[in-house]
Amino acid sequence: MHRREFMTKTALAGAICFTPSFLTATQTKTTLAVYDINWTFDLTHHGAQECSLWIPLPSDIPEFQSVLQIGAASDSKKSFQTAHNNYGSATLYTHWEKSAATKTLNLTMRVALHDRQCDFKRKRVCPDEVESSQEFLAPTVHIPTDGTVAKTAQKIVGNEKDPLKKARKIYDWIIANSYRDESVHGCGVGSPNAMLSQLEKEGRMGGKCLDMSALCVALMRASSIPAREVMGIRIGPSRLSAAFGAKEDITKSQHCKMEFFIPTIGWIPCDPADITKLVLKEEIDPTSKRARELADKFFGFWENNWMAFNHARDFDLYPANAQGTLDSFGYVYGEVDGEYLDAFEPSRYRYTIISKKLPL
Amino acid sequence: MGRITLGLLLLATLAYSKEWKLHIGGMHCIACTLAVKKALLGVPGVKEAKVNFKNETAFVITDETVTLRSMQNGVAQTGYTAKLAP
Repeated sequence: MHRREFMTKTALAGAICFTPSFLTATQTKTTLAVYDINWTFDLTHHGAQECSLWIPLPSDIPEFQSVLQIGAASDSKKSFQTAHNNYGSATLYTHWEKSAATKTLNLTMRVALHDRQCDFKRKRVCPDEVESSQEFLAPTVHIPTDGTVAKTAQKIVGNEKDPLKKARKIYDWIIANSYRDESVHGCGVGSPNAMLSQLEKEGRMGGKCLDMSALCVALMRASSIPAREVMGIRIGPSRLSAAFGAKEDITKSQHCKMEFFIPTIGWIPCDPADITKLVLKEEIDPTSKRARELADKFFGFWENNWMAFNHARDFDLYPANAQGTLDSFGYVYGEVDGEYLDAFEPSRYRYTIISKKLPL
Repeated sequence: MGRITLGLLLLATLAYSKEWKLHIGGMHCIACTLAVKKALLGVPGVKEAKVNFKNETAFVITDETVTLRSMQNGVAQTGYTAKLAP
């Protein structure tokens, strides 16, 4: 059996294997959490068919996420890491030829996370960052900024000129007008127009995290605020609510958050979708004190039990796949003899993801 | 004797297999290929269907009973369109 193994970054012994520089003045060690994540695949049951996987990997995010180690062991002849795509999204590509007797992959990641809390204080933001943020004003196939989206955005923000206040109005409007629909597959399709069409017909919008984040992103972009969805996965328990947490088996714990950009502050994290999940899981009213308090908190906050992958939408994978442009990349993407393998069905890949929080 | 009968049956099945190349309209993401494939395989007489989002096509293998209209009806029920590809 031909077996390939690789490891990036330095795997240091012990649980705490990062430098103190990872901490900033506004963070304390109490918000630090380190996780080992193990993602295993077995596509052997696809027999004499060509199989390819593109797996999203985490990347470093200053003051929030630090990737300490990524390692993979596979019986494929071709397996490598790449970020060669429009969004620079870290990807593990693995390919098995038809003749491969077994098709297995074991991917390990160690990630350190802090709570990401915005203090909303003015600070100097690097001009390069301001410039690069402008890319996230543009529409994509799934994120229109004209038509109904533009009209709705105008209705929500009115004459408000302050971008931070406009962003808050949009965030509050999403929470007030949407609900979590558990019947939606995976994280949803992330189509703002579909959500707004539902609102027009039914008076409310049902969906999941990608649906609400995508709508929030589209409305913010239409209001001249750079914004982007961030695909990721819950990797541990939450200190705030069971609704936001995950147990050790995180195979189905994918979750999309979002962030927006204010030139005098930088990228600001938020998560309107999780407030709708809180309302559903805790059976509380969206106008209750608890829902309002957490809505306030989640405007400018990501908890340290969620790992980010990327902010890619409507982009081409590398190496190129047979099916073409991918709409989002929060799940593994796989093809068997060029046909799409349903990402929302782990059994098709026989994959499991296990996360363990390390003692500090 | 049994083997010969089986062989003849297999030959007959292969002989009556028909290949179609369809243009599929209305797919907005790769996951749509799953719905189209399911719809095509739900049409009685369809043996195999491979759907491609990038090319907006479906390659379908059917028996002799299947018509373009029956596949169009099947696909239409899931909100997509099908016509013969050039």
